[in-house]
Amino acid sequence: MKIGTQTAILDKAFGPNKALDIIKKVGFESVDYSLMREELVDMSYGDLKKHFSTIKNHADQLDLPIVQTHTPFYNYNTMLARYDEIIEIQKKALMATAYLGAKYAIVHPLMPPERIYDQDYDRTKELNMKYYSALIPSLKEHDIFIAVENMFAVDPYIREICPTTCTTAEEMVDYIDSLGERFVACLDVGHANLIHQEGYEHVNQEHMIKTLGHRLQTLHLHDNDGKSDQHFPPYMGTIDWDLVMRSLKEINYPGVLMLECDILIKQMYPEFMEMGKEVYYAAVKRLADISKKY
Amino acid sequence: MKLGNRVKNSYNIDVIKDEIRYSARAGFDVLDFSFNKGQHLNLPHDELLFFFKELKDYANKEEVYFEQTHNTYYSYEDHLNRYDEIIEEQKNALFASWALGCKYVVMHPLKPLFRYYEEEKEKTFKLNEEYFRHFIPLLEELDLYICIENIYLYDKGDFAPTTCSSAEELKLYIDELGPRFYACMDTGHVHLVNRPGYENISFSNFAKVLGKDILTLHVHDCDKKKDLHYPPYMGNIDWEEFIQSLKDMKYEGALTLECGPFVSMFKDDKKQEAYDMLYLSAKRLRERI
Repeated sequence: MKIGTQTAILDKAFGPNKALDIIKKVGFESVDYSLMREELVDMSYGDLKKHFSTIKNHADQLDLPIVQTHTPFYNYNTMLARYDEIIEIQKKALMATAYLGAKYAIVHPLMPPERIYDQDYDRTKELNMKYYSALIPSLKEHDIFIAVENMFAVDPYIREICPTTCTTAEEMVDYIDSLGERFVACLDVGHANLIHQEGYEHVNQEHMIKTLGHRLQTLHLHDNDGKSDQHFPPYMGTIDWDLVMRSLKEINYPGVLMLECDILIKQMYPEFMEMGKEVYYAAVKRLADISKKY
Repeated sequence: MKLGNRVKNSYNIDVIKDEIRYSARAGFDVLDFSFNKGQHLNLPHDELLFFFKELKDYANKEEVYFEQTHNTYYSYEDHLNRYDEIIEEQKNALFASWALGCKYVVMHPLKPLFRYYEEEKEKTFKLNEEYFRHFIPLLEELDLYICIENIYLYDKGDFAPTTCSSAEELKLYIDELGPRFYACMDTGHVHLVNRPGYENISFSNFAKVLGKDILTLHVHDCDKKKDLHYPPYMGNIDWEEFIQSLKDMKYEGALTLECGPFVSMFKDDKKQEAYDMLYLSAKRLRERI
């Protein structure tokens, strides 16, 4: 399996080309281009094509494919306040995805505050079907796919992490199958490590990988202590990485081992960011080596 | 098994206290004080004891304790040029270790450039025997133990075997020097020196040859090309082999990280996060033992 990482912090610190240069130099084989910052796609359609095609050219010269992106995400109140504007931003992010040569765009589902535990399932699904459906024409036009990611919320009463929209693989399957062929899954392995409530024992990496099956086309790999979304490199938390790799092998996961650990290098001095990437390159390479065992 | 972390000496006591506090708040149980460049070791005797006792008290207030120290290490040329002066500095470090409340002092053996692969073992042993014997009376007076560390000789990109790189040579030193001498196994150094012809430089062989003589550890990872001192799993050490070796030798000491270079990459206001990550790495390792 190929190994990849996100551009987020390196792009912000050094610009897209140098970010890709560093990622390639460290040894990564593919890229999740981070479009989480709205300003990255806040430009005219003409400029969008020129800007992201230039980045793609640079990636091509490095032989470093950009296989997925992560579009901007917003809290629910912001979504409500700026709904139409955000739909347009997401469409631009999808265009950028295509110009970058990526096939998948990770787009968070809507997470209304009422959608915690089993509450408000049907209404939230309706909201998400409308939201995602608005993006389908862009997906078809640019021949790309949206990957729905598993999420978590915080219970406002006890201030603890709790299930929400698409926390479970079952709900992800419901969404993906309802939305049709332009939708796949992104399993965030770290998010799955945060849910411990009774009745949610099935929120674990092994079950989710097997349940998602052929729908699973992208990953966000990171570790944590089971209590907070730390986005640490693999092996710095409590996730059983052998089990994750074995499960991915069992479903013949076709995608990339994509790290989402830039929080680590965000805390480093810029001159050390390349070394920081080397640190978690080593961690994800272990995962790739494990996958060869199975 | 206690989890330990390295704290480095500094001219600024507040910097040392910061490291103590970060380590304590991350969850570490014990500390390894590295004397670094020997700061404060030339203080007058009473001031030296007072200074290091103040650090001990600070650590204890943070509910963490000094378990081991790491003496300053010098180039062989330094030893030749300043032999007596270095002996006195090392003795001061023993006093400081005692003031910190430690029992174990990790020391590098002398590493002459001629002690390369299999060369000059006997000559180097005699030099080291004379060197280490200077400390025995003070070790007995202060009830301390020296843990000799396995090291390498860096030669144009090669981390070559040298004094005490192997468990066999360490064992010889410890047995000859007597009951105040034990071993410190450094994981990164084992990994760097292990190579064809030196397969005995391995965790499993260290466990087999030294066993209960290993009282302390320096735990860190690397890529076998540079002595990176990264957290466990951030290099390519086989940690399962290491874990098995601890089980085989029934190791009872602390699992002490030595990952200063990793921490130094972090911004000043983000150091706690670095220590938190180190703690999680160490905790994960401990859970597998």
